[in-house]
Amino acid sequence: MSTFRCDIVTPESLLFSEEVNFVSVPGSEGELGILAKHAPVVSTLKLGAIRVKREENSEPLAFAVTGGYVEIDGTKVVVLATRAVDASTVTPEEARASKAAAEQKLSALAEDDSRAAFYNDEIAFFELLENLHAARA
Amino acid sequence: MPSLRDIQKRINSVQSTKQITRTMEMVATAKIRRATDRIIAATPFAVAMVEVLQSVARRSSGNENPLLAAKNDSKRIAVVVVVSDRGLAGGFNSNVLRAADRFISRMKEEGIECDNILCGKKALGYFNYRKLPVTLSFRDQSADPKIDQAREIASFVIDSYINNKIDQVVIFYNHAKNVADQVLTKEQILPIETVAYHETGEGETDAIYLDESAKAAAAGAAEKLAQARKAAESVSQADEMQGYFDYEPSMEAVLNALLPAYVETRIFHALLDSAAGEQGARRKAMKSATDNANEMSTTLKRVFNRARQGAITTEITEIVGGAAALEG
Repeated sequence: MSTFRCDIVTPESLLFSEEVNFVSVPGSEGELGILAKHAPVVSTLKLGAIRVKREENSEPLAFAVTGGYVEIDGTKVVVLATRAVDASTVTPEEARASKAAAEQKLSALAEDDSRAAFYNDEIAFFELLENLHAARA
Repeated sequence: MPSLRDIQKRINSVQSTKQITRTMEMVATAKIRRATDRIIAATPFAVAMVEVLQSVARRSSGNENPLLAAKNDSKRIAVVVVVSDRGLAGGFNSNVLRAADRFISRMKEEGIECDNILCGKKALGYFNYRKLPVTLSFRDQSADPKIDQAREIASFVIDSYINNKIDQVVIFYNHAKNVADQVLTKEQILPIETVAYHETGEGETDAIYLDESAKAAAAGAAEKLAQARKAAESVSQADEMQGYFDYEPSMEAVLNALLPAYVETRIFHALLDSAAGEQGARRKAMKSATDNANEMSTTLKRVFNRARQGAITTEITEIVGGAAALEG
């Protein structure tokens, strides 16, 4: 199977850049599975998991993203993530703790506080990280 | 003539000042590296961002996004001022502040109000002292800018821009041209200059912007950028051949989502650039302070020795005189 380049970049750093065999990303219109020679697409992303397989049968790497874009130009795949984390770098306990912290802050806010959206996103993000671990276990 | 003790005191004080400035110089040198690394880390995202924006912009014909539309007359401008939290960095802060101040008062003469968004404690002090209005301010973040700060500024200006509360957004910051030099830079954030990013079809304007911010990052970054640029070139060629992209959900939706992120990226880059510049400026300022202290302590030592020699000579003359008087 042929491989292609996959970059995952966040505003703060280049998270991942390798030759891979398969990538799946959470497109806003639905999950996108990408193999080599995929037709050129630019899509926005929603909260979800990016799975990357280096080889056809290898165990996928998982990244959690909150949103952003993916650009597939036929030769490589670039994921521009607003925020992304390699799931293996965060333990389920950490994810749970961060989620609990965000929930606590959310409950402390007033009903119509504009920051509520931010904490809701946080909670969803850490929940996703937690689930990624559960799926692997 | 000052007494020996006085001179010694001055020498000591100059020496201890020198120690401080030299330490600060070394600390700044170490921090330049860190700041530079951050710029390098952020460059791939910016490059990728510009690439996507280019390919989208080249294909989208009608630009109906409000962020692209220039308004006919400006009545209110948002001014983003990026300086540092700490002083002792030569003209680093005052250059930016003075330029921003001049700009604001010139606008006022023309009857244009300014919303001031300040990043860095020094800006806060300056504006409060002069009783200039402050709309938003950030402090204690200048040394280590976070994307969240850029996001907050971006969402504020975009929101105000779309709701017609402001008609233009400019940013003032120090661009770290290289490790030693900072250039005062004024850029327009909104409306996004269509010319600028259309021209980048050939990889010019925005590539230069990226180019320079990476240049700040000394040699290693420049190399990295060359790679990024080469990558960008090969992509745009591939892009040319590919002909078209599919857009999900739609081209407009992609563009509408991309532009705010582009604004955010530019602001974030300015913050990073300024952080690197701050350390560079501080190092330069502290280096010259250390040099001055060295020079001063040499001069003082000379004065001290002369005074001591003078005192000894006087004593000898007195002793000889006294002995001669006894003999006589």
